[in-house]
Amino acid sequence: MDDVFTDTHSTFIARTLSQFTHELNNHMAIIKESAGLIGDILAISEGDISSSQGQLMDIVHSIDGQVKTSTRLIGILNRFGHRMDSHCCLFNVNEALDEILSLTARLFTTKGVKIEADLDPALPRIVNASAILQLLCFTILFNMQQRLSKGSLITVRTAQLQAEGLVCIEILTIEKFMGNCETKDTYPKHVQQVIIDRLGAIVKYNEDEWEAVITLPLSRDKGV
Amino acid sequence: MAQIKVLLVDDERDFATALSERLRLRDYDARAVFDINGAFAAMTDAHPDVVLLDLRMPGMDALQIFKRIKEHSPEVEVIIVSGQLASSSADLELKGLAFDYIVKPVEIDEVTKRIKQAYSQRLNNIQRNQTLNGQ
Repeated sequence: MDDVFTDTHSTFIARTLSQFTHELNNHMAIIKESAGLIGDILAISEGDISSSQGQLMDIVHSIDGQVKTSTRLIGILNRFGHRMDSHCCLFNVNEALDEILSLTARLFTTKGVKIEADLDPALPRIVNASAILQLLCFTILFNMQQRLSKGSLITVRTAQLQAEGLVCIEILTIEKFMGNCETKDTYPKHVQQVIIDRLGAIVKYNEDEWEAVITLPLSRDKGV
Repeated sequence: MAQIKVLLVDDERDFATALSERLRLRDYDARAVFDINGAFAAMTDAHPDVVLLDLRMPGMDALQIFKRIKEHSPEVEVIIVSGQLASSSADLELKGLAFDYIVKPVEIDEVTKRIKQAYSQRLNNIQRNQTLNGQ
């Protein structure tokens, strides 16, 4: 089972990094073309930039925006990497979810599937393996988007079950799924169960077996 | 040499707009569209010689877009522009079918060189087809 987990985690990281570096490359390309365009305009204006000043300022603002976006994205990637420093620590579930949704956004937008996050700001922090929780959420989201059509919406919602001292993550959609078979790309349920066991979580799937409600203890040692 | 008509298809608006502007400054008849509907409409309106197609367009697989473009204009040459190297079997198939595959960020001189090569290939395609049809 360790091999199954390691393989699954490796494909998750590979998929995440390939999507994300693609995204970063796109931002670098925009910056490069924008800077190149400034150079072109300066070259043809032969020192008199008065007529091009407005266009140049627009490009400079675009570069500034792209650099800010790229810096934010690099920060997300950096935090994602550091989550694997520790097997178990105190963390904010909303931040971990927000991070994985940002990292994998391109995967879903390319498919035309939108993800909406409805995260409870009062959610308590929990003690568990945040990297493994991201892996579990990704496998559920990935399986869902494989069977959703263009224009579909997935909602990721967090809530605290105060009486029980639990945290709950719902990954749901109101859309109809296409087909009902696992494909070679989907993450099989027995693989997800290995991940769930590592988290000490409980996952309830709906009738379609694709939407999921994850319940986590405030501390992994306590179990659900 | 006739002005080469280039169609850029990329959902990254800032990238496509800046690159098309830079191509226009180099005397290309360049036009940018940001979605697949715009791409198919421009194939009819603009009759491009060369298409620069982003590998990852929302809503349709690039291989399907490529096939639709080729169905519409078999002689047009398509250069794939991507933020990543081709890795999946579909990407590799497309790389094999397209005139060329370039990875972002791109060097403008390299892009214009590939566009000129693709345009020459297009002229050869047209000439060959005319010969085959006995024109």
